[in-house]
Amino acid sequence: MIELGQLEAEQREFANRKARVVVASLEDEETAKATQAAFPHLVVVADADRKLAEALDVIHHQSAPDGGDTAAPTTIVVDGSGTVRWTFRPQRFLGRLTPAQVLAALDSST
Amino acid sequence: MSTVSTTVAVKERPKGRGYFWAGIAVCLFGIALCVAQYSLRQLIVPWYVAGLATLGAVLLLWSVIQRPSVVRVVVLALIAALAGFEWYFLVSLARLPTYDGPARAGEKIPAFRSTLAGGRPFTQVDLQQGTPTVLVFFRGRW
Repeated sequence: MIELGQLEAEQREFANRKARVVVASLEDEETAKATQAAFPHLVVVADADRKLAEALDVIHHQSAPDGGDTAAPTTIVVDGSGTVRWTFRPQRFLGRLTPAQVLAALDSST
Repeated sequence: MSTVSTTVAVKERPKGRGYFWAGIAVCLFGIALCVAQYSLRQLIVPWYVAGLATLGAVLLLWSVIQRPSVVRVVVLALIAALAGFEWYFLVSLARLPTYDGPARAGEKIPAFRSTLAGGRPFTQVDLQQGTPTVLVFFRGRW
């Protein structure tokens, strides 16, 4: 959740670029609603049925603390026409992009 | 005239004691540094935790070589096991598979049909309405 908090804190920078941040995990709808309430400037996807995660092949099997599946941390920049411009996945789930790196990727690819 | 001689017993400091405590301290310092890192919201891979635990194990091994004792051997075994687990976690357990699609730079985002937290449908069409989007997948709220 640190990552989402950092992105939320930079919402003005994303708004200045007329861009939005959409975040998704495999958690259920109630959890997604709680996430949306905690980070009102992000767009939260309730992807418990895995439709989005499966379409983009980001499921990391048996990687949750309880042995279940998770969405592998992955960042995808999409331009306004729906074309993918940039993708990133850290080598290890402990690492993440900083908001500055996300903004730099957005600037260079849209 | 008589001469009185006295013998003062000087207790020697056990050999390797400094290495023993330094080994423990270095290992604990790595863990404390990791806690501080995440408290400061720095999301980088903490390789230094395993590195410092390994250094701690080396210092403890040196203290055991200098003066073997049950306590030193037990602490060495514990910290060596901790270092081993930390390396295993960082090198193997925390590793993510490389991402090579189906979302690829220069291609349209694949079709999907999901739902937003508010209940509204969310599809690839929503990403074609002129607004650049950063799509971030995250592991969970825990």
